[in-house]
Amino acid sequence: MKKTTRYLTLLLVLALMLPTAAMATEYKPMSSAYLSSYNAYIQPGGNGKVSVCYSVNSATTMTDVGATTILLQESADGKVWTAVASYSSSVYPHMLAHNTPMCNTDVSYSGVSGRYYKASVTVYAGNSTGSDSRVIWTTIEKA
Amino acid sequence: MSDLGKNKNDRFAMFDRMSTVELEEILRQDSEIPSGEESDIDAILYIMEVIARREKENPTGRFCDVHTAWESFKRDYSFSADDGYSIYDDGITLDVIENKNAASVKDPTHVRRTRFRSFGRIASIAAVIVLVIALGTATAYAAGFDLWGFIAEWTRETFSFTSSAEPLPQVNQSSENGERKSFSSLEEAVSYYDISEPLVPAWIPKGYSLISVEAAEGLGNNNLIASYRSESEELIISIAEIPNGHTSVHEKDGGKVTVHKAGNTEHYIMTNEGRLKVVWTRSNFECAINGKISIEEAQKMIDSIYGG
Repeated sequence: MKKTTRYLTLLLVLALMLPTAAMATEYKPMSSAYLSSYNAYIQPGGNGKVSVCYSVNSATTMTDVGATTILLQESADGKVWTAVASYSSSVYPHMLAHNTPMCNTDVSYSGVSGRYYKASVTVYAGNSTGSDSRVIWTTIEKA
Repeated sequence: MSDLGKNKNDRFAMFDRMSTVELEEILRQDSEIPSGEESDIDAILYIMEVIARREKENPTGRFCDVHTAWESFKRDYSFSADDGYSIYDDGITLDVIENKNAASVKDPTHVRRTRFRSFGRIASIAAVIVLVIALGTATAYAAGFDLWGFIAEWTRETFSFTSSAEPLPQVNQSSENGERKSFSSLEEAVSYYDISEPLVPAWIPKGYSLISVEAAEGLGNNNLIASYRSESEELIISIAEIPNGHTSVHEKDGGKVTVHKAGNTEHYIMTNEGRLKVVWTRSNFECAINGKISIEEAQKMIDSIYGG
């Protein structure tokens, strides 16, 4: 009984220390002077069609804002993935919006009904002073 | 060529048509694949082959000689400069690797197990400590819950909402995705999209004047954005429909997040590279104010949304 109480006390002390330890941990913040917010998701469109939709908001009006690269992957079982399509803003100019703080658009792919899809999207914002980018992943969706 | 090889080449033909920069971007994205998911190893190897082939045909000088790389590896990663042991706990000496003497690999006399065992034990303890701190971080930064079914979560790096309820139907599905529309005011844009929720601040900090109001009609949602300018700064207000529960990730720095409650809605105030940012959700909308303004000005803007 005494032993159990001692263990419980120790556990409680550790639990109380956890937030302090976390606050004391040094991180390098991933803030951005260019990017403000972003999201990306897959939207099934029926008959195997999938669209990679994304929106990017920049901190201020940018020369270019949006996505520079999208890599679409396909899977039959949701575990093993195969790259099936890649989209670049150099080929698909609508992936970037210009002289605005917002881009909200998509790219489409004719996939196979019943298969799973996910995509990585390199979101980007830049102007004459510099640029910033992040790689984000969509959730997995079934076509 | 075998059918297998032919099929593989057909499957990966798209990589041949991509630029080297694009292929390298794919490799970079693959390196950041979420844990628990597997890479398409065949595709990755094929991409590496394509890059290597192109480098051989047209050397860019970006890749150093393999012998130079090996010498660099030995110099930088050898466990100790004079004992000939590698950093890995497999008992393989550099001599063994260089001489390809497989018998020596299994020779226990070549293995300094005690030192490696101690190293492994320390690594295990360190891993447990890291895990405990990570769990503590999650505890420390667990945050509020708003009335509209979105849970606010933040770390020192980013802020986001996660959906805790069924997604609401979209207000107005667009007919042509990617189409942009301009409006003379944010109120006019909100009215155009039949948005009845109070989302637009009636008060804007002194010195700022409206520059533009745009709507971008996406496949899954519509986004509105208003840009205001002072002499040297820009203030942005954004209103986005939340498409099927997919909320945004918001960049933030290590400053603390404070909550300002108004109109039965929690507004999260944070900073990002010297700019103040307010983020909130209401009904099926995710909204933000972004600019070099004071907390007092931000709070006044928020209150003005609800008639305050």
